[in-house]
Amino acid sequence: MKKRYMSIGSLILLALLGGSAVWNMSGSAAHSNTRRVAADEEPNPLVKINQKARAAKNGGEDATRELVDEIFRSVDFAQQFAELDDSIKDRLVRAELNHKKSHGQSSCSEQRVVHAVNLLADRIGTPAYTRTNVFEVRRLRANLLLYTSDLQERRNKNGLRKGQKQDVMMSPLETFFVAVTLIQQKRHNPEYQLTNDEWIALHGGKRIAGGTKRFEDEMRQRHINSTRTEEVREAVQKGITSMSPLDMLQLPEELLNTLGIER
Amino acid sequence: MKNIKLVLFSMVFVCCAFFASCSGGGSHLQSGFRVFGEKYVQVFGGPPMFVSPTSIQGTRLIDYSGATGTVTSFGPLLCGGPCPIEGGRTPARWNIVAGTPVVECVGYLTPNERDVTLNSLQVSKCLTFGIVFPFSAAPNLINLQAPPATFEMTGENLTTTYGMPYIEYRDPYTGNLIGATSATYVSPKGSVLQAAAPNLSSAYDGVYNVLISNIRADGSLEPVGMSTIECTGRPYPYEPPPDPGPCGCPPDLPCLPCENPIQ
Repeated sequence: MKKRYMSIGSLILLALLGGSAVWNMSGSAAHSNTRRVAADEEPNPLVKINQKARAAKNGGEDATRELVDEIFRSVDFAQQFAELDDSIKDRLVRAELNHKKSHGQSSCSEQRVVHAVNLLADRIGTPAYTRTNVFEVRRLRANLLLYTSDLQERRNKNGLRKGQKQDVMMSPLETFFVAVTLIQQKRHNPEYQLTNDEWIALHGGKRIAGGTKRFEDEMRQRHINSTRTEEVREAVQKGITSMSPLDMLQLPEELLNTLGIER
Repeated sequence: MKNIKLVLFSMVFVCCAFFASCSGGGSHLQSGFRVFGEKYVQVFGGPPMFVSPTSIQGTRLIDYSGATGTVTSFGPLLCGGPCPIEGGRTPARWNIVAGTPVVECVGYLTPNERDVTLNSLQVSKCLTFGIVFPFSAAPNLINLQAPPATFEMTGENLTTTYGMPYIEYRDPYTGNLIGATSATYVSPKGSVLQAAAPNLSSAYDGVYNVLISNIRADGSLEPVGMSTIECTGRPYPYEPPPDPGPCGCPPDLPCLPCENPIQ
């Protein structure tokens, strides 16, 4: 079983992080791979993820599996290897169900997302701005709260107190979702392709009312030129080609372990 | 068995490396350019978030001096990565849009009309319909030395069926809850609420997210909208993010090994 995980995980990794090699294959063979498409009738995948998350809250294995499938449909790296990801999906479903059985006890946390994303950046050798920190993970979770609130632990007003941080512990599925969502942002979104020092500098170094204008102006430009997205793409391509097969074999399992997702 | 898988994996790896290094990643076409569509969702109180690749289409508007290529329109196309537009006319001005306007996308983060040069990568970023339910808060500029006694918020979908809506004030940088309170009044149409101002003694200058939730039958919170308030009168620098701790040892939590935590 472990061997199966390793080989399948390696292939997934090629798409996930590595994506660029796969990316390039699809790019260079686009004549056969390109398809004409009709209008997308599901414009916001987060809506569907939240619907499935709500159904899975009190549901059993089937509802949880549907939620996992929806998450995989919504993240591009998983789409590319949908045929190969059953073991990873099984592991996530199992971990989530066990999490429910144990009344919410989990070894998954914001810190583990930080470690997993940074581990990936280190292994692949992507630029410093693809690393993350606890505050960035919290910002992402805060922004996701309105959209995928049902993926988070059920919140109750009696459980909230002033000064309380967002619960740093997460379910296995939320942890996975936050991690892959953050990886997507690091690959594509200039607003997350920043070191913490850069983020603070673009906000003027101190908290002020209206202090986001400089940041927003800069981001408008970065969305247009996509320079860092290209840098990340090239770094991933270079990193993948320089990794040993053994290192690559070990990485998917290492990442899921780092996220605290049980086997 | 392991050896066979290792050999297979190595073959995949070598193939990917070959494509990545020898094809130039599909980044150099004989003629034409590459295009990529990205779909973002507007996140209220935070940056737009990348959700998935999307289809892309384009039409040439005018040629520039020395333009070559026979292709003057394309799409909608959806590729695993950037789509090559072999023979796409360059240098020329094109109208390139991601997603399906109006049906799928309500706005763009990048200009649709752009000058396209040979072998360039043209990324179009569209904003999908969101599930953002913006509320307006009054007042929305708060002097922390003399905070108002009450807030009024205007939006929609408020209900008092299972209790008065709940309002959380969160620091988007740290994710911390800086104050929370229940509404004291909701208009019959569910579009206006009033609430006592929370204790903002731990707030500093800057922008804060206001999350408005209805109460569900089970007492849990269901977010229905978000707003922001700007605070002034208590300057504070950005604090550095907390160290996530050594791998698997988050601050204030039991140590959890990152690698092979679950046997």
